[in-house]
Amino acid sequence: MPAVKEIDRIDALEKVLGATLYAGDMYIEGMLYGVIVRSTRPHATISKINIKEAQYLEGVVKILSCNDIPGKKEFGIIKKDQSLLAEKKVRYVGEPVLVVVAETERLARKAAELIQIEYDDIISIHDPFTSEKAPVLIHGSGNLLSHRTVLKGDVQKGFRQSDVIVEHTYRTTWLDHAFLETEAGIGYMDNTGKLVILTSTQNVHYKRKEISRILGLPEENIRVIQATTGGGFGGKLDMTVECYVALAVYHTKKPVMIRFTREESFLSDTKRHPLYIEYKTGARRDGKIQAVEVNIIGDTGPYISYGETVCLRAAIHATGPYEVPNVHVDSRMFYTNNPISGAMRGFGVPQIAFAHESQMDEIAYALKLDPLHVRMINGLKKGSRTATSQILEASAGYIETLKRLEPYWQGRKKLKGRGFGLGSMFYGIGNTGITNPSYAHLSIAENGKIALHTGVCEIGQGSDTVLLQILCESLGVDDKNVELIRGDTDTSKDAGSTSASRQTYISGMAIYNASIKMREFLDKEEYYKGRGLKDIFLTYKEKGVPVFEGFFDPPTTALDPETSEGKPYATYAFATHMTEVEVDEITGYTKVLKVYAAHDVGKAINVRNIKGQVYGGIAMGIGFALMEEFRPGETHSLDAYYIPTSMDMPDVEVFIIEDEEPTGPFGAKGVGEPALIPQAASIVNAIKDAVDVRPFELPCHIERLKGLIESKTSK
Amino acid sequence: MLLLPKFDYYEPKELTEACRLLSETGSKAKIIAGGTDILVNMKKGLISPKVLVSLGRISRLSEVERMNKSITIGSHLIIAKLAEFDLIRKRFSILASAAKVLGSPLVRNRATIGGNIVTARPAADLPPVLMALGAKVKLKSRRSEREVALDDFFIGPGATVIKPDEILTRVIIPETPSYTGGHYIKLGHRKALEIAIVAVASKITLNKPDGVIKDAKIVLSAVAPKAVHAKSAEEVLIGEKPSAKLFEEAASLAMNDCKPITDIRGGVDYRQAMVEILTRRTLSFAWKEAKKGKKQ
Repeated sequence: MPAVKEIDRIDALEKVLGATLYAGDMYIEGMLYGVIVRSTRPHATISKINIKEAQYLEGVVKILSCNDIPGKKEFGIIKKDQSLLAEKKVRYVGEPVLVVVAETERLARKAAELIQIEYDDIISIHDPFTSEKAPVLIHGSGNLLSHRTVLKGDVQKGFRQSDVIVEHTYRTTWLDHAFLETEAGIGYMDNTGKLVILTSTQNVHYKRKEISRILGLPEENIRVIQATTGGGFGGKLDMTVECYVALAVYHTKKPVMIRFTREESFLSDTKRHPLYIEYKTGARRDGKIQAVEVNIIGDTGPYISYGETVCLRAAIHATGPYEVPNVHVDSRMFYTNNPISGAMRGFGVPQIAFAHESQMDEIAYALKLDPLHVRMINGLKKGSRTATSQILEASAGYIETLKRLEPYWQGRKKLKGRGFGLGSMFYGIGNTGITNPSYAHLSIAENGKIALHTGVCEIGQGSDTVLLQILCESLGVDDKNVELIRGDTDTSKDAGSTSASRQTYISGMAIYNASIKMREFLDKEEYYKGRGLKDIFLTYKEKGVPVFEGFFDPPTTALDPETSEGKPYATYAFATHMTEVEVDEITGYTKVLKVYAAHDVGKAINVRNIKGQVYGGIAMGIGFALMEEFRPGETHSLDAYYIPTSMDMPDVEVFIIEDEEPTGPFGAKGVGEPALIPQAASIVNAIKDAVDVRPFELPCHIERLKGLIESKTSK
Repeated sequence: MLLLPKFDYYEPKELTEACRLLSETGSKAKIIAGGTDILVNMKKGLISPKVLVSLGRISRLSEVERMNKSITIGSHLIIAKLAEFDLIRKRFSILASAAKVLGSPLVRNRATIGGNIVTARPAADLPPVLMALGAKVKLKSRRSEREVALDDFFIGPGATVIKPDEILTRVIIPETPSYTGGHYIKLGHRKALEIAIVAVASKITLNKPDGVIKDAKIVLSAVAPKAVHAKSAEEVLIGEKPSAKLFEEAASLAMNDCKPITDIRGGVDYRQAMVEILTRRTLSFAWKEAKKGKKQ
């Protein structure tokens, strides 16, 4: 396939100039502000709510409770298990109880502070291990949310055939997305009586469904428009402010804005799932992996959010990008009264990659083999059978990622206090074993431009630009002749969420699919012979300009409930990062010096965008490996939540591998999450190389690493 | 979004005017310099002064002056500028290096030397180096003016001896003698926007390049309610010939000169251990610099 013509990011100039308006910047004359009153208890029944003082404050318009919800009272992205406003019970600190609507934001906050809620505390559960046997049930159904297994071959036989077995436990903790823009949305009634919500989100169509349920209004009466979104990373997939804004507009008939402070964002935003991973690997003397046995225990918090998804995705990806003949993975997700864990870049895979990559290195050390060699001989390739017994038919460029880094790996020069580490990953693009289609449509607008309608939410990752490129390339038009109309439920069909690294692949393909149809039409209308689009438009103005529908749903199969056998994803991305670190043995401080990142993206649609994703993924991976740690009850803001700064960024060299995916647009897959997934693992392995201690718990921050180094030297 | 409460705002051009405003409004008024601390606290509702008096238009407060045997720095000089002055870079290099690691470029472009002192944060970057340099501050009110050694200025977190009607106008640093060297190390999770887990500033003066230590200052930060001198460590150095062994001894004494706590940034044992490491490292570096020779 030919290279796709690269264009500049279409949002870049406006953003660099600071001219872009985000949801929180919006202003409508006469608008009101909403503030959510939240639970201060982890597990309690509400015995009394006293709103008197707040109610009579001048300028307070409404105080909404669960009794004010006209439709269904629950929401949830996978299952409807969470009360929009708590009725009797609260299950975590931060659970919404009331919404105060007032004339100014200051007043709304003041009123919220005046509200007194009395609670009867219930024993709360904060540890997934005690959750299983706890006498207290967080929901009626028991404290185990989900248990998934991946079975292949016979692990006991595999371990018997092994010359070496390594077994360790790995732990990770809560992380916050820490997007630059906190959650925000504004709503109003338009002049047709439609309820419009403009919001910072990763999925407009899902948000419309939730609002429709909660208000008991048909979806046609609701319009959700994506505001320019300043980062998502999974944190704006779940409902954040949308239903609260909608409820307030519904009751006041006035424009209402809700925007979170950083503290509210930290308190209410879903977190990355802390996982506890017991991992056992058996290999033959030559380094060939014979068996992998994994036991994953996760803390999902009190509500489902994406808990089941993470439970399954971590299990499926537990063996990493390797062909393992015998596999047994158990993955369990328990309810607790900790913060809700949900979607965060990688859905459990960055955690599991930390475990499988540590294990690969341990196998190599135990057998005195080169870690790159061990990865090479076990790596997935075309024709390989994955842990779910899926045969990889195409676009499996893992080995190539290793080959590309091999000269640097072999040429590495280890200086004192420094070390090198590898981290590899594979990642299934799109949702797991379920249909996840995208629709798009094309037409000619009155202004003589091609109108591209898509429901894809641009969250800063660059989908606007990439989708435009795919259209221009397949239609043979210049981007100046295209009008992008996106992220609006009134003008586009559902493209699914901007998540799971799926938009380039799935929505890109939907657009490609539509443009093939339109190309035929344009050809017939002699556009390619020089006829103008405006002229074509005028010909069809009376009888109606044709609309060209595009659709793509990646071919997957549902997984066997016992063994997870099946085809969970149509395609996978592959990557390897090689990282050099310098560790100060005396203080425990780790500096990441250099990262070589090789990614099989299928086909690079926009090289600069891919590099941008990789740089961002590396930054996030440094945070995950070395400094980020959300401690419930202690972490309230960015003051004590360390995310890496530009000063902490290493030199990065990106290598793009194009093993084309036949079902993707021009062969493209995705890179959004793959950019992050192997980074922490490669840092951990580099630390081991540098100071001969292996971190089993993340973040491996300065003090923790110092402790590890000390316990080694005291032995 | 957090909103500022309402307040009156003054930008006097003369220091006397600022003093008058402060004395007339009493405890309801606060001085605003860069605002990197006070505005955040006001937004959070921790304080709500009715009047803010800016020092931004009093030009003398942004100047660095060389006096006889000392330099004085106007309290409104922004941190970014501190490291730019040749005089500071050459003669008070530890001050310049502390200024370079304070906050982020955005903070350094707003925050001032005076602000970093009066806010009295236990992990602030400038107080330990200024204390190591033996700095004094000039406090001016409508009716009086006094000088206080920085060693006697801090009481605890957020608390100092400054009176409600006083303005910190200048920081006075005595000239360093020949054969003086210093170093500041700040330990944290990341390279910018870091509040130190532990920081140490050391300064030593030799009587001659290969001579004995005439004067020694070691100041520990983030390990006590305020920056503190490692007194027993300082004492053991004086009159001795520098050596790795001597520095080790001083470093291990320094550990007991502080009382760190465990908080979200670090544990007590780690902090104590790092005091030893950073003391040793700063002293070694200071020694190297001190040997280099005579000041111009």
